[in-house]
Amino acid sequence: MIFGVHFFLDVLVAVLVCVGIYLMFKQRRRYRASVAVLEDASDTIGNGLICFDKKDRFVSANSQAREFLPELIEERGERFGQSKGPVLSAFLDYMYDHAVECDESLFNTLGRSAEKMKDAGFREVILAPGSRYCLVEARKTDAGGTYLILIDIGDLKNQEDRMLRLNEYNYELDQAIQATTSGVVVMKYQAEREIIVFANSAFCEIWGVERQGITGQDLEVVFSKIDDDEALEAIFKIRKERKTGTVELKHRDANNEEHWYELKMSPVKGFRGEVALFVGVFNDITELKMRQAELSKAQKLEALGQLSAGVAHDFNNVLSIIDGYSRLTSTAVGEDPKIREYQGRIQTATQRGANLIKQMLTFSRHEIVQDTVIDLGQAVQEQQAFLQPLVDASIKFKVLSDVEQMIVECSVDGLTQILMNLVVNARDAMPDGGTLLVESRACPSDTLPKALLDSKPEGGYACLLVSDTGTGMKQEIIDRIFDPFFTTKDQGKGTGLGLSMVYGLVKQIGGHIDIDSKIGRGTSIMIYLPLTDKALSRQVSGDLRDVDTIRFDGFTAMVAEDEPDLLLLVRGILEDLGMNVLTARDGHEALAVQDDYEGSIDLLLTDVVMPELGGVELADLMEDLRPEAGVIYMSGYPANGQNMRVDLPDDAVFIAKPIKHDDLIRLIYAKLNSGSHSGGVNVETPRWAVKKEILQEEISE
Amino acid sequence: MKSPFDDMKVLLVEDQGEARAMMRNMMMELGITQIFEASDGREALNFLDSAYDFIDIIVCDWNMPAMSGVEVLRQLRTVDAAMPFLMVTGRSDVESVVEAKSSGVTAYIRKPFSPKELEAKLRIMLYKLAA
Repeated sequence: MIFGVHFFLDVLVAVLVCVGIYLMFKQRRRYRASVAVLEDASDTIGNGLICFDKKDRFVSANSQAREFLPELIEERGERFGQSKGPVLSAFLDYMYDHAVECDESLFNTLGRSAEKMKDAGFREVILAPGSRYCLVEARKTDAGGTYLILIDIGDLKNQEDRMLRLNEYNYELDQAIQATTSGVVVMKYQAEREIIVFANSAFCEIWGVERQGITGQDLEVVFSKIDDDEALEAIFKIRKERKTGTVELKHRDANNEEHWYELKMSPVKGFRGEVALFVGVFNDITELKMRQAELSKAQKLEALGQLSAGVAHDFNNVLSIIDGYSRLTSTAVGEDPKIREYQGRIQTATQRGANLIKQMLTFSRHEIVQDTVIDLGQAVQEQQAFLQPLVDASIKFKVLSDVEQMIVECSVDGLTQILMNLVVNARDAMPDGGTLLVESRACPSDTLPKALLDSKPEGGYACLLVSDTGTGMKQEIIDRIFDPFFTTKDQGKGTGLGLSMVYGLVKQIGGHIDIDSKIGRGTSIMIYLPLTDKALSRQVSGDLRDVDTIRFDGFTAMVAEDEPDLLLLVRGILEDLGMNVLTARDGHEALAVQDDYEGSIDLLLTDVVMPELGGVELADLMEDLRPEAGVIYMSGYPANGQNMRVDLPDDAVFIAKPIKHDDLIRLIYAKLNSGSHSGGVNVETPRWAVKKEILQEEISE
Repeated sequence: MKSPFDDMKVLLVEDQGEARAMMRNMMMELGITQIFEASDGREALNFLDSAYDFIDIIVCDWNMPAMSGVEVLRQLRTVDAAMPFLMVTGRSDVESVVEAKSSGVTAYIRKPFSPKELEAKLRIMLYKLAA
């Protein structure tokens, strides 16, 4: 019985097992069939799909998924799918390994494919074999399984890359156009209007508009600011004809400074070949314009200079004949006072003619100008005495000098010419009185005019300023002011050569002239002279009370003496005082030596009695040849010159032999300071004293 | 009174008649009696060819048609390095002076000049002649 029960149970179990196995197989077949159906179905959805069961085991993959990741699915999916362990993690590891950088915005554009599914926290773009980009997203199903959705984003990714590249290019282009100093504007035709579609910062700066919000505005915003009718007309013409064109226009900036711009306009063609846009480029050509004007002025003046030099030469010939004969006449007719007077008038006239020619030659730079080195401030101060009488009492006349030394290469004669001309002009510009200021000052490089910035000498510049509060000048007059024979004065009142001579002198010195004039407000003329580090020429220094301190640096003396020992002695004394000494043993040699000497001779120290050509005759001839030289006679006769067999001129300066060192120095000191010659003498006055005087004058006013 | 220029023999070269006459007059006033004249450089050189010994010094204008004063001077210097030569010129630019000096001029005088200036220059010539 028990056996029977056991047997029954065994059979039952066996049957049950068989049924179970059958059912299991059936189930499995059904399961497999359903998976196959599922896979077939999922093939149609377009995206790759890989499914895992709730134990994270691989279940299936559709054909798209297999196409993306054939090896992975075959190797890991199919193989690991048989095993018991989870393989989802292996899949995810693979995804992480092949993930690529991707823009966040790209994810968002893809959206969510199945909102019902829960996000499994995995979302990555991977680079699948064959360089295909693929978005992989993991989702959980309610049943606990997991799906990996694979979306082919190759096209999107490429598009994104193109966009990125385009963006980058655009950015660089924008940066470049913003960085250029040219103003760039792009405009578009829209309903008969021109709309700004792009403008760089230089453009906005030129026209004083905000860059923010400039896009979309009508171009009239800018063109309404152009005050140059001629240029506007040209611009409209170019726009109308839709061709490439260039326009030059004038515009005052926010600081009221006038600028010249060159506007280049070009049409830009659209897709269909029609003119869709216009691009305009503004370049600041102010400096170029100034240089051109400067150059053409220089050329004009150069031509005038050559012309006047030619005229001057011929005129000189004619004058020399008139002058020569008038002098000969005076000796021929003797003492007839009437003829003397007439002859004197002829000579005065020829002298005036000769002076005119000298001025013309100075302008045309054909006159030898001696290289002397002066302290501008001091030299200008010394000119005050000459200038003061030129100025009417109704004019307040001031001379100011910088305390600092300003050493420039310029002859005192030249400086006198410059100042006299400018002061006379300034005076004439103030018929009803005003203030005339002559000022010399050092010129910091940042205050230099543009024309000088390139040719800046190492030492910098000093500025000589002559300004008045007179009538001022129009631009047309300023433009022609340096032309020879150009004058605004009444007939006979001005030669028109004064300022052209000033121009010539300043150019010879290597300087530059600027004019600033306003109608009704006055005129300032600035003369910039290059500073030099050369030693001051010709300077009397020291105190007369202590002869040992006196020096005559840079002066040139000619000593004519037939006694060799005395000649050597005097030469030694003078050289010790810093003088340059020329020597001659008689009058004729002295003439020959001075003829060979190019520089100026400040002093003639001559023996009275010399063979052939005596001292008085020599001095007489030297007066014509070297009018700048002061004369001191040396003689063995008593100091008062009495009992001499030679007639000395009444005003002769005389030193007795044997020559006493101190007396000689005192005499030279007096002679060089007497101003009887036109040579520049810089007597050393304490500089503070000069400045103090001016200050006191200012305080008392 | 005896003139220092008593024995001086001068060749005056100047193309313009009035200027030449005026200079001759000035020189005569200074006591020069032996003045020979030429109206251009060619004539001056021809004169020197035939009458070289009659001439002590030459006074010559710079600007002359056909042959300039500098050219006359150059030709002269090829045969005579010492004969004093006074160049008369309306020019005073640095280049001209340098050119004149380098071609061997003894002295130069600028137009217009006074009789005194001419005298001084002629005295220089005299001095060089004696040297």
